[in-house]
Amino acid sequence: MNLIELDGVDAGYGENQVLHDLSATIAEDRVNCVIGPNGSGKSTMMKSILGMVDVWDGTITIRGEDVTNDHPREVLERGVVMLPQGGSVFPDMTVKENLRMGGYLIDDDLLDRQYEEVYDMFPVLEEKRAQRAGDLSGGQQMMVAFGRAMMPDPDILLLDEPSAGLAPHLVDDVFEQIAALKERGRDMLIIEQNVRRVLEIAEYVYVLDQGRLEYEGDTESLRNEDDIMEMYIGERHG
Amino acid sequence: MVSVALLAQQIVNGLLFGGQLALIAVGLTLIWGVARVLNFGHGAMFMVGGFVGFFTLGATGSLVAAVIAAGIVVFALGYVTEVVLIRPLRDREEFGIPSMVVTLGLAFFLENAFIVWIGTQRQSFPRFTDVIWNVAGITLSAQRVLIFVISLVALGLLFVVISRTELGLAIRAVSQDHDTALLMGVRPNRVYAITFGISAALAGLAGVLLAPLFAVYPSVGWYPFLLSFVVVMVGGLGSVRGTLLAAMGLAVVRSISIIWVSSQMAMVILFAIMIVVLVAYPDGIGGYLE
Repeated sequence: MNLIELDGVDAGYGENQVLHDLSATIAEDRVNCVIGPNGSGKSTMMKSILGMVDVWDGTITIRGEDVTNDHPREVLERGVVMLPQGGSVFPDMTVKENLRMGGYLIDDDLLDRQYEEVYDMFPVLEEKRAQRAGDLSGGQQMMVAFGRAMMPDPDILLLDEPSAGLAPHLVDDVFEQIAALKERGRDMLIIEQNVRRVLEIAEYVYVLDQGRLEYEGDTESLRNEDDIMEMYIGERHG
Repeated sequence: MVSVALLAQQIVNGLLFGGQLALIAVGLTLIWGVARVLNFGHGAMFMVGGFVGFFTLGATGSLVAAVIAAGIVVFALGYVTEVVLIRPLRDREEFGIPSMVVTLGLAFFLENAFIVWIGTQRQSFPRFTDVIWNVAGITLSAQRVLIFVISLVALGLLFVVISRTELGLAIRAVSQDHDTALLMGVRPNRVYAITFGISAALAGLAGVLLAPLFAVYPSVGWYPFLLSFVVVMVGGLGSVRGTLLAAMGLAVVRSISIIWVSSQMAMVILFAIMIVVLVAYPDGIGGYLE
């Protein structure tokens, strides 16, 4: 069954329409990425799935269940978790409290298991669990953000420009993290400006332009689409 | 000439009053820190708390019932205020000024509604106790000590709720980053309403606790509101630690000014301090305490 389906979605902010009749199907068991120029509606597409932007027309379903314009909480409960741009850790909370926020909706008896899972992935977070997250280094804050997103054990993780605004060495860390999650079989939908890096990891690509889907297909097939490669990725095959 | 004994007496009086002032001011700073509303209706919540306490006492004869009823009724009033008056403004581009004006309007509405309903006369509220202690030459009224202790217990409970409970976690999440809290499954609208209710309940509790000193009448809330306004400006809006410190410090300054200068000048001195602090530290002293 398809995990997430957008069907004829119009969405935007106030009077400003960003998505135009956007349809896309996100299947299970793969790593997807969305690329496109600035203002093409990538973030809006993600936010419309989460219920964080008004969908004017069309429907969004998760495993066949309509979630159009539902509260983000309902979407979260269906296993779709988003890691916001820049990580957005809660700076005045401890590391553990940040993780607790990630597990805000899960049962108390599951919490301990999930802490273990996250500490297993990022041992340094266990060491620093009582420290204020805002005092950690940029790289460690990124781990908190990833760890927090893994707390509810999501079926699919939505990453909104995970490398945006990061120092170069942190960009490497982030892509290593994404590769590690892929290794563990985690489904993802990634929005990224760093197209070259994300295409090394993603198995399926959606290309958006002006709120419309211009292309979708396997990463391998995309490499044979000379026009798309040249227009959106700035590379010509061969 | 002011004797050392009188000075010590006024410092103790100031600290006792500071605890009560903190109870009002913390609610004001809390609602700013979480929901970014400068609540000009905070004094009206104090006033309503006094009246609810007054009527409950009249009906039941129980001070405990009066205090509890004031807390519950004013919590509900704060909750409804947020949902009905503040929430519709939240989606607007400009939120700060309209929300301030709406709460100011609510303050005048409630004050005048009580004038029409009950009149402007002061309703006297019985003292909780007449016991006076004498400790090392300092006179302590048991009533003021009791009010101080109840204020500290209420503030302590608030601290436990905010630092140790799931509700507190959600409140802190929303105050730090509304959108990310939303992504974690928090319902920020509910958090705003509950926080507004808690903030109002603290003012309502202060209203009934201070009723024996202030009496109960429709405009009774303005003086404590102005004092707590000075406190949160000096302490730093949104900083609980700064607010507590400023409440204690300014209350001591106030009680010393009352004997050294005059009670009329005390308010002038407090506002002068506020202006000087705001010129030197525009965000108050709270940021320097963290």
